[in-house]
Amino acid sequence: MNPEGRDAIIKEPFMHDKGWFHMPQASGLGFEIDHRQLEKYGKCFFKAS
Amino acid sequence: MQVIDRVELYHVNAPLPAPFSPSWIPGLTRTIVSFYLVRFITNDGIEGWSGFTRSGRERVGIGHTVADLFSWGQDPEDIEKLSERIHIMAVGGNFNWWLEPAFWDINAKNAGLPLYKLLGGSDNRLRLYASSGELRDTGARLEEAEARFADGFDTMKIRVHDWNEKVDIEHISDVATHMQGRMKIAVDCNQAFRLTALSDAPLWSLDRAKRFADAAADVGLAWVEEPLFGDWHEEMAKLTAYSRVPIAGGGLHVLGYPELKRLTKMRCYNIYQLDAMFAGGVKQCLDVARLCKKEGVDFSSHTWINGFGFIINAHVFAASGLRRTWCSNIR
Repeated sequence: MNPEGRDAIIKEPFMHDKGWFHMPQASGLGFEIDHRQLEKYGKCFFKAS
Repeated sequence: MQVIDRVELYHVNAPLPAPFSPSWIPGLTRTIVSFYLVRFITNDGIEGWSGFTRSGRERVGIGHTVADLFSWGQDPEDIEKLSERIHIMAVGGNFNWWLEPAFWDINAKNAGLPLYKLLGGSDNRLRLYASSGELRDTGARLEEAEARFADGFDTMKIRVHDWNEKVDIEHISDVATHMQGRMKIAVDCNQAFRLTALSDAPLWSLDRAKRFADAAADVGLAWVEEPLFGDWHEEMAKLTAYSRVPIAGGGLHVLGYPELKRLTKMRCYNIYQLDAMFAGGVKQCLDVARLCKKEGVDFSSHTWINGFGFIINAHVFAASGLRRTWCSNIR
């Protein structure tokens, strides 16, 4: 699978640069969820608080 | 005090731009990437995310258990306790190490750092290898290798899964000879875990694996991955002791650190390729990395499943401080 498909609900897919991967510098795991894509392709089946 | 206050679980089915037929699941062609997604939210609004591969509706019923074990006031920084609770789920028959990185997501956000830096890493970039996920005839494979070489990769992992071992050996030999001096070739035999729901698959014996390792060594392959069934620890150790080419594996040892510690002591692999989503989470994978360093064997992260698996295992590898070439999902 290619990165765009693999990273479908992540705002910026993780791409290589001539065989290198530059680690994201944002805090945490370093990505933002694309909530529009999540709404389109995802379905919440459980929530609790 | 910050505590986990809310949990949400999702199914996600997103289209792939092209059909994909994984070599390790004979008979399957995927047109979507399908996974479970978790979002934990703390009482002060910090979110932790993770996602795990989905083959059906096997995790539809875990919501209340996840809420009971990980929500209701749990401290997201108490990784030992949270890992113990994932182990409780595993004893009950449901392995969910993929939840653990979501807690690390929260902790690293609390610290204002990317996770690998929170864990002591300083490698800002990783050298990747290209990983082909499909079986191809040799002509198509050579075209693929040339394309990945042009993309900037200096190492590529190819796949074999034929009933006839001569076909497999000819394939690796032809590709390695063609790319000799330009690109290192590795091979994934996908013997560790048999996915035979749709179609039967070859099951290699130790003798077949030895013959294959001999051929791989003769043409200078970088490593041979998962050449035997994952539970055959003694046979794996015999193969690794015998082989002239590095034997790699470890991504699917779902019991985590205790199992991988035993495998390391037994010298089952030359290269331990762990996937935090399957094999113990971030903490246990880093514990294995430290053990590998002490024992003088190689460690590398491994991934395939989705973007969450990719980035979580990238953080593990960047934090490990070990500079071996790491996996890419490019095909």
